[in-house]
Amino acid sequence: MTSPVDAVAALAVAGSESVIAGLTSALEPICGVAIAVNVAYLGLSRFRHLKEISEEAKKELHIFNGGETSFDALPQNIKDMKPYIVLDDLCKFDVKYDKVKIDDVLDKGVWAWVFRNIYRPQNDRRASIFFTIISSFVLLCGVAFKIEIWNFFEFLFNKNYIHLWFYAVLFSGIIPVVFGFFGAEVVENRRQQAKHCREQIELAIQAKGQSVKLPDVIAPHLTEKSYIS
Amino acid sequence: MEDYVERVARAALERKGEPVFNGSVDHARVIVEALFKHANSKIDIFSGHLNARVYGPDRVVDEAEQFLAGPSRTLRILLENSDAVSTRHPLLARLQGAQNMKIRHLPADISAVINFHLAVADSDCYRFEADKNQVSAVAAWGDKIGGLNLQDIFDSLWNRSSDVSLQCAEAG
Repeated sequence: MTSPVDAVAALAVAGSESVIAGLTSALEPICGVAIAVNVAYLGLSRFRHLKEISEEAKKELHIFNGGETSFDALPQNIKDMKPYIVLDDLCKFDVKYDKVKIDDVLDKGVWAWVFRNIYRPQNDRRASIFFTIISSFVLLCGVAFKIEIWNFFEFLFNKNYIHLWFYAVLFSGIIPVVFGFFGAEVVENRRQQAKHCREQIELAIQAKGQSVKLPDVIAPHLTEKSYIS
Repeated sequence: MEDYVERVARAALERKGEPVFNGSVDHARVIVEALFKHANSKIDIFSGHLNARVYGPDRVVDEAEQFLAGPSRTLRILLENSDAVSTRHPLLARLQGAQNMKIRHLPADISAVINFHLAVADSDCYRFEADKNQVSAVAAWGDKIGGLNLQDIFDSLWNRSSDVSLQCAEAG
């Protein structure tokens, strides 16, 4: 037979569990939004910033081989130009991580720093995966407490901590949106850099056309001009 | 390719001197077509054998024909290898009756020391191949510095060359 003290204690525990389950389940809508935002950030191709940079750079680079697969026919003096090397490196952003080359390619400035430290090492995607796990954990705990399982996690969701979980989940939902906006800016910066590289190469070749001379062996004989009309 | 065609058309219309790289035979065709389309008074071409893949497609020939429809307009073609040119060439076949088209042959000794090819229109639009053995080139519309320089070079070479008739070329 249960003593009155045990009965009161059991009621108190049941009440406590009910309160925690209620608090945790109150976070479910915001958890759902955070998960959706993070999954979208991880899954949608428009947020593959490195791939997008690489594709934009390839568009510029392929002007130099007429869209063909090989660059073998491209003169070596063009391949040796610094802007060409930078453009070539930009094209490889989606396939390998080489810090030395990145430092050669990136200029100074806030967006270059953001790119170097967040997007290039894919810390944005790592963070998004982490936020997805956090949000999913809170969501699952809310459901679990309702059906009275996973009680060993209840200590994490008492009144002292629940507001921290609220902010953590809120943060998890907002940060991928920030990553998306910043990523678009970073892509635009690299796109402009790729375009600038292409323009530099074209200007260098144009300068040759502007300054080319006939060889001395024939030029002295060619002073007279004649025109058809 | 659509992006490239659009870019060339824009550069030719704006005529601001913006350089456009030419990285393939297809690019060259697009550029030559735009040169014919947007030229106002004269076009001078210095080429090896007037590559039919560049100068032969219907769209290029159509534009060339329309360009020469104006009687005050002139087309001068200077070739290093005139033997390769005959009335079987699509461009020359269509334009063979035009009085305002002249073809000349550059002597081999001069050709041997020149490493580039070019096409100039109105003295401010051009396509310049820095290495005549490569397809790579640069084109610009509205670049007076480059255009005048290349025009001078073409005129100099033209003065050192000899007339070639299409019939002779075909017979040869």
